[in-house]
Amino acid sequence: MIRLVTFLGGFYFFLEFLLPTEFFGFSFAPYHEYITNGIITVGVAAIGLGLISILRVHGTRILKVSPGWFPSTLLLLSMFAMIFATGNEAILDRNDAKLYERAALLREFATLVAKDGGTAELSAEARTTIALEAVETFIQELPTSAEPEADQSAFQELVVAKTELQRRIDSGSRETLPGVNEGLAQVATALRAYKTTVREASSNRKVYNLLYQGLWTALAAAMFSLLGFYIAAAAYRAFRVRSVESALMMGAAVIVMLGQIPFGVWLYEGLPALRSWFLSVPSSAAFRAIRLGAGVAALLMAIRMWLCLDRKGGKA
Amino acid sequence: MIRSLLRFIDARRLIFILVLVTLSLPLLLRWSVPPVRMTAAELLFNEIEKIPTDVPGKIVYLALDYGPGTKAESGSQAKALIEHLMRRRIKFLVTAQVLDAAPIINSIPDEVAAGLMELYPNEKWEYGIDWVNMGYTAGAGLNIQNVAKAASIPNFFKRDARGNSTAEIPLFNGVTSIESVSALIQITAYVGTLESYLQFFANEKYRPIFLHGCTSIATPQSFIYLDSGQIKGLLEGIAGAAWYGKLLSDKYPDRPVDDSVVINTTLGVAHLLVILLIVAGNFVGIFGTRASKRRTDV
Amino acid sequence: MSTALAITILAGISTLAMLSFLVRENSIYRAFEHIFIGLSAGLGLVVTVRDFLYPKILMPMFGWDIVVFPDGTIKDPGHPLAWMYAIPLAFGLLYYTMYFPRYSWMARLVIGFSFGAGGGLAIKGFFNEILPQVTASFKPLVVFDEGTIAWMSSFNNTVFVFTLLCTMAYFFFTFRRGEALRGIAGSGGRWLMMVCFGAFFGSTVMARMAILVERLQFLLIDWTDALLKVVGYV
Repeated sequence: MIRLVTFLGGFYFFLEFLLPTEFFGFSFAPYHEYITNGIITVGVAAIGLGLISILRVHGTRILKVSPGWFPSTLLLLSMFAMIFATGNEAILDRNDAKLYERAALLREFATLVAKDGGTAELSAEARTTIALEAVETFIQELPTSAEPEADQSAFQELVVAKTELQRRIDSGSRETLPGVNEGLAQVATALRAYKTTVREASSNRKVYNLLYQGLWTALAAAMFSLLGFYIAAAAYRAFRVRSVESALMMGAAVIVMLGQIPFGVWLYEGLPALRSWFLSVPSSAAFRAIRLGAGVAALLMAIRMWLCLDRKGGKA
Repeated sequence: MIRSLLRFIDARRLIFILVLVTLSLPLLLRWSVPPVRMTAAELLFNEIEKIPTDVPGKIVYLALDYGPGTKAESGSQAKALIEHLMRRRIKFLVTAQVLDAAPIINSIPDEVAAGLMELYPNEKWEYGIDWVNMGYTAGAGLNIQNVAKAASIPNFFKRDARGNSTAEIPLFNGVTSIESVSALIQITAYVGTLESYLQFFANEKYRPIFLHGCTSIATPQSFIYLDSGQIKGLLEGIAGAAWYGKLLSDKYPDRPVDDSVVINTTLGVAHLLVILLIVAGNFVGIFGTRASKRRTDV
Repeated sequence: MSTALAITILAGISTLAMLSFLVRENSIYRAFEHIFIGLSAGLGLVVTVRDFLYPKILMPMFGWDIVVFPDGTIKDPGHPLAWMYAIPLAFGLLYYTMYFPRYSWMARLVIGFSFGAGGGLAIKGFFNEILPQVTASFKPLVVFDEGTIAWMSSFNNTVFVFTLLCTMAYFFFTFRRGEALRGIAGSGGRWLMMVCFGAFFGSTVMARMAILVERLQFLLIDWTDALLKVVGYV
């Protein structure tokens, strides 16, 4: 059963690679996105496993007050804080986008009605009334008072655009729909500008920035920067010339290092060119040989995985 | 107390202190020396110069696959490249296939655009018109293959990372399939992400120009793709970014000096320190062994 | 204190906490290390839902992407087959059977499927990526430029091909040991690989030091500046 499912997992890509895009008049192209998205979904579904593991390991440590309970508490707190802040940002983004999309949809509808008039079911007048009413409802859903921390001038611009749009609706007819369309465009621009200032001043954005820039970015960069110290220590303690091989390695390393820094040319002007030659000729050739070998090995591994050719472990 | 402190500072910690002091000095003095010439970066610069700006419906596909851990190198490269694209008014789509790049791809074009608008108050660079962020996309190669095969890139993405429908984004006017992508620029700090693009970002008829920025550690690896022509230009770590900045400054003389030159100079000092440490380590290794042998012989 | 200032101060504290590991492993380092893991886990979860699961799977699956004009006519019918995403979603949920010993075998089905898909995809990827590499390796050993021999290019190509063949020979384990040609090629391959590894080391120094320099620059300039502002010196 597992072998069959594993085989099926890779079969689609194998066929897709071998067969032409159209096969006996049938094209798989329209379904390709569905299939691959489906396969990605299977993988993405595992994301909860990480969450469960974290909760189990650190939750248990906290509940039992075992050693390391305090860092575990910080871990869980920071995780939930990030979920809350980023999730809230995503929701607010989506809500704002819904408003912009509504404006764009109403503009498109107004253009359509102005151009085509009625349909089989509805007359041109009825569609015009629907369009104007929809715009009216949209206006009512727009912010009526400015958020205290937002840019007040941006809000004033929105109010002006809104008033102008209202005026255009009040004197609305099918002929004035292009004007309504224009008014909607102005409202959409003003709304976007105002909403941007609201979001930038929001407390959620501040918390998100503190977590993201103040902690996450800084911690990630600092964690990697530790390696700078260790590579210096390793250069002193481990990079010893004991054989022809190590001498060659050190020679190449020194040439590459001197060739990529601004002071290298002070020693010898041709060092950058020499570095470039090292990288593009001997180093490239040697690495390509390694890459080709690794590539063939990866191909064989892929075939073994796909066809389940690995034997079960056990006694010889 | 002094004795216990001295006992605590062993050779390793002494090296740490040495590194700290040596690198701090040029940073505090804001010492900057012109960067060394990087021919691979020049190739990249020239390729971007060649991209036509008057063809409607053409975009650059910018993949920023790096996290904050390597922002010194990849971030400098991304800023320089985005600045070049924005200055030339080349429209671009930005995306990432690694999770930790998601917040970066949102903020970095904003920062560059703000800097340019401060420099040129009469000009405007706007989200949705000059660039658009499609966010993080799961599935690596699978997803890249989907983009390459999609009949319409905007329809494939449906929404940008800020939740806007791609149909409402002006940048996508006239953009259809991968054939609308004039170039792919991929900046990465992760192994395998360039390979995902090399493997899958093409269809039967068309493959855009590939341009690449890597961290220094991956430079030797990236050269094999430059040699084979799979990539047409390469930024090699911070040195590549610094040289690219110089090329930009040559073309746009009013451009302010960026940080990558100062970082690059300090890095030069760091390299000299590492070379000195290698020499010192070998010196101690050779003479230390001889001395101990002599003691044993006696 | 403004938010920007608070962010800079906090980023400096975070950086110092991480660098404190250089003195010795300590509880402050461990606390911030755990905070980093927590933040990464939280961010990963939300970004995956926000950028993939919600827009690509859930929206089309539940028909949330169908767009209707105010008069009821359909503007965008969405994805008619997207309800089928329920199948891989349900299949993916089998991962969670691993928490129930009686049904844990089902999790292996999903793992097997993912391995199979990865394998199938890798076959195609191999040919797309590696074949141009093979083609580019066939370099002419003598290069002519406008009727005359281009000595430098010829030399470079010869060195390239020699290095490539020697390095590959080093990894051929199917030849009998002791054969003279293989011995020479193998040793040459090893030496030339060392040159490659040396280039890697040189590049690694730059990569690692660049990150450190960026952090030091932040601490010495941005963070110090922010601290002085907080204290009131600036």
